[in-house]
Amino acid sequence: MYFPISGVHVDPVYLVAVGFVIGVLGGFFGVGGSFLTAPALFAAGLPMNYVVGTDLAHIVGKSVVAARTHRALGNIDLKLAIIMVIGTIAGSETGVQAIEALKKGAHVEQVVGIVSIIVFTGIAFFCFWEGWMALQLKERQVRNGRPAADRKQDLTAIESFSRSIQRLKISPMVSLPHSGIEAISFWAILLVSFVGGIFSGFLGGGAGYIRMPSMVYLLGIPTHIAVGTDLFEIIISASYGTIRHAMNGNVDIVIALVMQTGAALGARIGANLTQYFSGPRIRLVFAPLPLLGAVVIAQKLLSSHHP
Amino acid sequence: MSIPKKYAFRLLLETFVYGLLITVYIAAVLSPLVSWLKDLFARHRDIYAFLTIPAMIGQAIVLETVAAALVGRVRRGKE
Repeated sequence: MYFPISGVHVDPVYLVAVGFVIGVLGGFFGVGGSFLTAPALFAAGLPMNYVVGTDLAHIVGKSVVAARTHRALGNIDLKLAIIMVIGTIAGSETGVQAIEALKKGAHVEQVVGIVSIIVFTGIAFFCFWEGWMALQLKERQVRNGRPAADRKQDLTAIESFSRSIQRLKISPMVSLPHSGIEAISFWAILLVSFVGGIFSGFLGGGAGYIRMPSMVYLLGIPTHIAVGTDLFEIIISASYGTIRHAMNGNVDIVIALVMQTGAALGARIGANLTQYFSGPRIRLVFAPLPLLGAVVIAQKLLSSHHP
Repeated sequence: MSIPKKYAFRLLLETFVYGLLITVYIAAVLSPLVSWLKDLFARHRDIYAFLTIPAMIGQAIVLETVAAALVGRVRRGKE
């Protein structure tokens, strides 16, 4: 099929299949999946400037489907999402400005690439270690005769850390009853979303790989609610990014629409699957995802050094 | 972790119905719109930019609603 906006020929079955795989991952983990979509679109022959914008447009559609399913499952904390949108958009702008500043100097690709590899690898190993420890803790609790917690009642190995963040009394304080949090500083939420936004603007995509674990470990949000809320928040921040890229002529809406047909089904399946996994298990299977992103970037960096 | 058989069956049915639906949709709805969208992209970039979001959200909701209705109809027909 010919896509005249970006001027490329791509098999629509390939786009639907890529969308489906990314949709399952997005619905299950609450991530945009840019670390897989971007190389897949680039491999199909789409010019790099269209890859970023088109990927963001497709993330909007997919996140709508996944967020609707998560909302039906009670996994979205609207109050938290609205506060996070403010921080994400501000952070995203800061990240974009940082990239522009780096462009003036040399080696921008290497700097961004190395930062991404360190961050992705760190998140992957931490999530794996923490998910494993939390599962062990859960098993010990069951052995000691404590009743097994409900799937949505979360358990983390570093719960004391998020509790100490919740104890910081920097006003204004907000309560998040849907997430089971009595009071937390507004600034803590804003800071977490701002940092996620910086990564989104700096490295591209929705940055769910950093925001979802941050919501769980730093703010103490249960994993299921972190996944659903992150997806809802991604709809707004990705929409903002899409409009900005589309105005610069970097979005092929037809490619995004075709990909989204597959992503919609995948996102629905992924979101529904979260019902059958406990929080620590979701975090444990999440671990290879950022690692895969790190491998993709490392491979790209190496191939640019050895053409 | 265990995924019930009933859910696995529903998943397969949904995938099949949805696959048929998007094939018809891409051929009958999306393909005829391509040249119009290309024209909009070239002549009215701002309108094109603001149209991307309602297009993505609209398609997501319409396809999901139609697919859910079709799956429901097929399941009722089987029972």
